[in-house]
Amino acid sequence: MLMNKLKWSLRTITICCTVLPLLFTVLAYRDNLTGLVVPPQINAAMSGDSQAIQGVLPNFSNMSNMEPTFNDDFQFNPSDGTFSFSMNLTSPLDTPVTINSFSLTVTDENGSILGTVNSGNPVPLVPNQNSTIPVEGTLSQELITLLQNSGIDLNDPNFDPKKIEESGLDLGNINLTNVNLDIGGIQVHIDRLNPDELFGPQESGSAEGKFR
Amino acid sequence: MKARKNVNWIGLVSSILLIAVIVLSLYNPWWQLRIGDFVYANFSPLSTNFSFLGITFLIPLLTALNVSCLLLLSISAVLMITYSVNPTKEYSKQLLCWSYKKPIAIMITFIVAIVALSQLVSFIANQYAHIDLTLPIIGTTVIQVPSELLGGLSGVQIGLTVSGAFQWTFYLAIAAAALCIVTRIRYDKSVLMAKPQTLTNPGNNLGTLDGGDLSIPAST
Repeated sequence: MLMNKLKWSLRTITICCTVLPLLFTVLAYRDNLTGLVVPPQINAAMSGDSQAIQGVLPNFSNMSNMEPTFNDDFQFNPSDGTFSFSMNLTSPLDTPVTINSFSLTVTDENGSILGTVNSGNPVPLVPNQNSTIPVEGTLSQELITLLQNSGIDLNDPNFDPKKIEESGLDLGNINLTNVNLDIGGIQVHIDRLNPDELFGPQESGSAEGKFR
Repeated sequence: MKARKNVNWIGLVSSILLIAVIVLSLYNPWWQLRIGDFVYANFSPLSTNFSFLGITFLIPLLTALNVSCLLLLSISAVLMITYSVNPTKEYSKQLLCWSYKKPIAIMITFIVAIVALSQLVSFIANQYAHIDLTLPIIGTTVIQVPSELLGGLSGVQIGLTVSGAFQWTFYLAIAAAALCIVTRIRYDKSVLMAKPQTLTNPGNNLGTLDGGDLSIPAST
């Protein structure tokens, strides 16, 4: 008799534990059954609550201020054309992200390789903190000559990579190809990137350093 | 001579391990799916949540199922302890038979659910979004975003690294479930060993086993 009671008690426990939480949840969402399978934040955002929408979307307001600053550590080896420098970047995100890899090839209009640029080891970007991103690469003798003709001396100990942007060098004939970027597991590949899109359109009067 | 308390130590260890699994699984998933560093899906029978760029989302229906599993596992652990300290009581077998099955059932259901989820997501992605996707249960894969979704951007390809992995709490749960099975298997053996003493000395409540005659008396 006691064993029978125990057996039924245990069965009741099983049924209650399984059914009651589900039952209470269904009752709580009886007026909006989609709320059972949709997270409450998204449910509120779908109903047009602007505060809820802001709560669901990450804060990208700092993204416009995200501009790398170049460190004063540019190194260039004229014998083999290798160079390295680093830049600082403050992550605008609230979650840690790693720059796993970055690489591109610099080519001229005929497709000849003028240089390569790539990041070093993966760099973790800590939320709202400054992180240093190492960059290294190689330049062809052709590109070195072009840069020197444009007044950019890579052997200058005070050389700042930003000077390339400010030099007025016509980048129209230079292509950035095979651009590969892996940020936090999102891999972006761009066949060809117009330097104007990166550095902005150059004035036509600055054609003195035009690459031929 | 004072009788030594008869305790099923394997049952006791499995119930303690079960409690550890319950507590740890509230904060550590059994299986985690990651899309890059940006999207995380944490699954365990006791806690399931999704995270996008640090914002955590819960699905009420899954939370209710988690509460069900939490209650079942907690009661299972308590009953397993009750059985373990009184393994020869009349009610013990029923407690054991009820409690040892729950972690195993939850474990099997969890694995089936993860496999079903993987297949379902792959099917939906292939069928409706035309994305060639195999959601990895263990391992890493790269999903290429279809060019139609990139709004006509030529020469641009975007891939998402998707990885799935069972976490250490899952393996701890397997150990706990395995110990529950061992407890059940050893139950019959221990009762068979204990029975003769109960009959020869009922007041001893199946106290000691040391040096006793293990044969079952003819009167039984």
